[in-house]
Amino acid sequence: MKKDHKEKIGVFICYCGGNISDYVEVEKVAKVVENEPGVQLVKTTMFTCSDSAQVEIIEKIIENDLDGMVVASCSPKLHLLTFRDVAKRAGLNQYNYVHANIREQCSWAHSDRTDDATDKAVRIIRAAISKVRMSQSLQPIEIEAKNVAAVIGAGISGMRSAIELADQGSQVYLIEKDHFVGGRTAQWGHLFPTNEEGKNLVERLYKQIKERDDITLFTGAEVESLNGNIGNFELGVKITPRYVFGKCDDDFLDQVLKACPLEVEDEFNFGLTKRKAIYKNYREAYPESPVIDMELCNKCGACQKICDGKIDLDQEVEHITFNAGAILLNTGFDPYEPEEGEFGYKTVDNVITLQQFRRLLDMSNGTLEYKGKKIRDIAYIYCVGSRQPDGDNKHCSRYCCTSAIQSALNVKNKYPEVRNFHITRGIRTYGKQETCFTDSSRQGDIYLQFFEGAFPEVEKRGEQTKITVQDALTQNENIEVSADLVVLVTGMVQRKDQSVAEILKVPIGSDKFYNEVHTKLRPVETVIDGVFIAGACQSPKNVRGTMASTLAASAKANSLINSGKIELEPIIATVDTDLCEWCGKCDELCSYNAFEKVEADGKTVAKVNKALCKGCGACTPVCPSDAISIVGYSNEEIEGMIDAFVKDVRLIEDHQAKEAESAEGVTNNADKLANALPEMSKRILQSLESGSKAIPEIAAELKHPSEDVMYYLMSLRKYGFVKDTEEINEDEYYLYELKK
Amino acid sequence: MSILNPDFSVTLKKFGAFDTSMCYNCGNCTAICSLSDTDNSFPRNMIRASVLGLEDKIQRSLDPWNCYYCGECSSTCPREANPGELMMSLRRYLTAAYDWTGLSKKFYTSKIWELVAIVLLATVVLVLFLLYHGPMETTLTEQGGVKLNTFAPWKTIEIGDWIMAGFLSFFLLSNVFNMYRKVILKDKSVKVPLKLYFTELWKLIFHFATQWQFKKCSTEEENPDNKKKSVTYWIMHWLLMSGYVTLFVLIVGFLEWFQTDEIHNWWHPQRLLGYYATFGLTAGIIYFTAIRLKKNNEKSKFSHYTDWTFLILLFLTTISGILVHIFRINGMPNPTYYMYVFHLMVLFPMLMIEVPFSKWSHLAYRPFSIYFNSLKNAAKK
Amino acid sequence: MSDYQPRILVFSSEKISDPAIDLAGLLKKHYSPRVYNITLPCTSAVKPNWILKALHKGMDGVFIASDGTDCAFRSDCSALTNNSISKAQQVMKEEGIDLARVKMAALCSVCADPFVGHMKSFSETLSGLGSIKNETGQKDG
Repeated sequence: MKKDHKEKIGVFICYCGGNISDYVEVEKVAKVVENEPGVQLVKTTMFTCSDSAQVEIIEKIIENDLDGMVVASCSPKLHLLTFRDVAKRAGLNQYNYVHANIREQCSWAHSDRTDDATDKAVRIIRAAISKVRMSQSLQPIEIEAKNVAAVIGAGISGMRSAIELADQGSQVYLIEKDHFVGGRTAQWGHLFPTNEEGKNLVERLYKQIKERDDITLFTGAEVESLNGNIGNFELGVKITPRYVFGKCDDDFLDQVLKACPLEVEDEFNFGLTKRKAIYKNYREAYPESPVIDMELCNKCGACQKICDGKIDLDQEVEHITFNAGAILLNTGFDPYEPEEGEFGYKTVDNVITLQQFRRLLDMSNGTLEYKGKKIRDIAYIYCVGSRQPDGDNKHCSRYCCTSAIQSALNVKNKYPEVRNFHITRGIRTYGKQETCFTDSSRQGDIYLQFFEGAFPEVEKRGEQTKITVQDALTQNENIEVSADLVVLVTGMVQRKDQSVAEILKVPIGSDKFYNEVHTKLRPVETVIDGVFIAGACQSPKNVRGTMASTLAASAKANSLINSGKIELEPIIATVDTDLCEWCGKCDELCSYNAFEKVEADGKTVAKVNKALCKGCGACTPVCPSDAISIVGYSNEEIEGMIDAFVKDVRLIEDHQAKEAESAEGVTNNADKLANALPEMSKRILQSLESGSKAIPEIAAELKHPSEDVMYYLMSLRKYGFVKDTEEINEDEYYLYELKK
Repeated sequence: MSILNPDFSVTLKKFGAFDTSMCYNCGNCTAICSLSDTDNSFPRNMIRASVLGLEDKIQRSLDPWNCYYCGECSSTCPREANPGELMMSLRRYLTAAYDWTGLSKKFYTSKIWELVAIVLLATVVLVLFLLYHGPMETTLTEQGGVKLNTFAPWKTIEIGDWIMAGFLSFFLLSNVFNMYRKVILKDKSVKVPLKLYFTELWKLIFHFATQWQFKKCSTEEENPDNKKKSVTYWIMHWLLMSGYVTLFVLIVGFLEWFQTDEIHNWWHPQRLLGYYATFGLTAGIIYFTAIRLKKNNEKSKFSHYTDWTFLILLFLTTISGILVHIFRINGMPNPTYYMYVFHLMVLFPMLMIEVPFSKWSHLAYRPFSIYFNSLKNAAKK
Repeated sequence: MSDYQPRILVFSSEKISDPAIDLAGLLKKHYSPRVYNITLPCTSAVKPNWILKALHKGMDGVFIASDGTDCAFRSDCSALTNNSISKAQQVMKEEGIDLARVKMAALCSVCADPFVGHMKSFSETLSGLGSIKNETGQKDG
């Protein structure tokens, strides 16, 4: 590949107000890199990111007709976009700018060895210069986008984001695998702190969905296939029919439920009850009409006899496809299912999970009973399936402490004679949820605490269930607790069925939850452009956290598709067709199906689909003929950088200057710093020459907003140009004066 | 292995404890306590034992006696779980637990039991006087004093004193032995060599005589105001205690010398000792009543009904004793006799109930706890 | 030889291990200043040839700070990176270069301490091995 080397490069080196210049001799660095090939000008600044410095850079680029730019300052994580914008404003292609990180990876990391830090800064900047010399001008890839969003999962997260997207003007397809909406929240009973029931939240959201024309809800719908890419995905969906039409009243429901002869364990109640082949998850479940479980149904026709017009047992499964610009994944979680024998689960008859207990409590009426026995003492064992030292689930599930304690409050409220014993690994009712812990203490709940490595044991002795805990709060004494019911406070894990993630090619983390691009900075985007994740499928979340993430994902998705056009980073793989001899290894390896086999100039070669390639580069080492490279990371560029790193550095040492410097000491250094000050700082210093002043006074004098003045004044103060007088003026503003 | 017993906190509430379930085990109480150290760390562990209902652990522990209730734990507690008052309640609970007769528990948990016992014992005194009192001589001695020894000869009264002292010693010492059994004998982790019982004995006597631990209670740097209060408390407590001991010794050991018809000069040791003791008791009663009423001190914020019973009985004993003295030296025979009977009617139940079974038993448990504690600590080393 | 200050080339990934190296600096955790970093979109893009070139050009060691299972692109990224390293090591073996001069470890985006630890131990290993030039026969300069 031929490249025109850039010959008019501008290098801008930042003092970062001392953060760099205290450890790196910036002026010396500037002197050395001036002589690098291709460098036309080198400039040092106090704060490269300041507005005035940005304007200055733009002027320099235009004035000197620069064709490349290196900014050597802090980490590109902070200011890459800032300087790309500077380049754009100066008419320079943003990809002809390379960032050199001489703060986090040089001045700060080597603040203990300033000579070496200076040496390293030279090398880092040289590598950046070498890279920018070979850089190409690139344009972002622009593609069309449909303002349609597919939301997968109609729990409260999916429903909420569907509403949000519709409000922002997108058309929404809401796809739910179950026949009823509401997901896990519908199962959850009373929620902290309002005590509102989960099913009420579901009802409110469902009614809003029904009001909107631009949301289409599919229930019994499963994603089968995905084609296309961001802006225009094509989703294939399989729809299982309900076999029941229209709404039905309670009377009809009671009759058909009675008539149906077939029974199966009710998953909605976690196996605590049975349901019929025709069923609703719960009486008020939405959509209103019941559904027939065709896997169970033997078509006996008993229900049809009650109302033939409403039931058609011969309805068929449908396969449909539709297009969407963006996809939101809100598939939620599964409660952790303990292994047999884990804290007596399934081996001791009165051990149940928190989720089962919530259902049990929700359904109980008058007396609290389990398997026919009245319950007085309840022991809760926390962190079951979470924070496992040996198991797969290292995470904290975040919601279970609050949920278990709230259950304890609810059960005591409903049955005052009940006593709660919490066997915890430390309570994590973070934030406002702490109040439920206080309430529970106040109502007399007893807390014990164990540590990892000394897990409590549950066993049946005669008629009684005993739990032995090594209680960390009682000098690690072994305490025996008797309980009528043992509730395992089970956390959140990823859904067993991850087929949709596999179809969408969403990365799955080691904890099985779906991975975002960056945990903190880009928490709802995935590396698959146009696919977003929200709610508990990404990581354990409570309702509040779920709502926050789903609204973030909706906003991100909408901002992507609502303009009809999408810009993509051009940092993708390219194939050198001279070298490529189609072997298919790249295609085989690529997780994103970005390679196509094409005929070009009479030979078969690989071609990269620009919208599908993510630019990860995993394909580049596997190419036997080394024909693939990622834009900006070619062999030449990498080798150029290595060369720049190893090339000798000879710092220009002027003995006389050094002696003079040590004689004059600080003043000389201060003068140097003063010369590099931004214009604004110099004006502030001038203004202070006539005496001490407060920030508003200086601002008025310089006709600048006082927050700007404050910003510059504070850095002047930090670097010893001004000091505060410890006096205030009549408006109670601090006065500042020049430091002599 | 200990067994969780959530019912215990219900029992403990009757002894005055507040809702300790608010405790979240931060340990501030133990950190602030100036008497807690690595050998004896409290009160957090006692709160914990109370919440879980570990009765065995509590009965084996001396920690409640190590606490002198400066109240800094309660004022520091972020959850207002009142650890100081819990320790006080545990002392009441332990007093009941050491008592093998079970009477102590009845007195602490039932006002009716206590009232009936007082009335009963007072009646016994009254009946004995009705049956056996001497002639109510109205003529006066040459000095113009009442012939009290004719009405109630010191010899007869002394026999009664000795019988009473026998009862008191029997019950109190058997309870102390019970304490020793729970604390030392049942604790298999230490074996106390015989020699230590003698070398550590001085602590028992020293602390009985001085209540020195009060001086260590509360920290000057943290809370100078509270420290001052603690020192005042210690002085007043010592005054009251020394007055009581003086009188007790005079009555039980030297009644012939103390209960005379002859009116000595004011500087006679009999009168001076009597006045000192009366002064100590009166000052103490006024002080303790005042702080319990004012509630301006952590340790006096909460009063169990047994605290008031004790103060009232002590007050009535003291005031009636003073009146007997005044009536006698001023030659008022009948008031002297009636007041004397009343004095004994209060004194007898007070001693019989308070010393072995209730609040006053701490005169033995406090110093013995220090003694046992140092035995254990010395044995461990 | 223990005073020898080896030069290390680090390949890091833009989203995960590079932020960890940034964090080490932010926390003023010190490591050898002769550590140089090239950031790639994902470490699975490291070509075996780059590792060899770096050693030939005078880097005493190459450290690949891979993403491990945190990788946003693909979960098998470490395995792919490892393949490239193995290929490079085959050539190194033939050329008589010590295989310990290439090292890979997974770093999370906040793994500042592990990064500094790796740099320290890798520097020690490399200074034990001495200059790469002894093995590749380059002249100083």
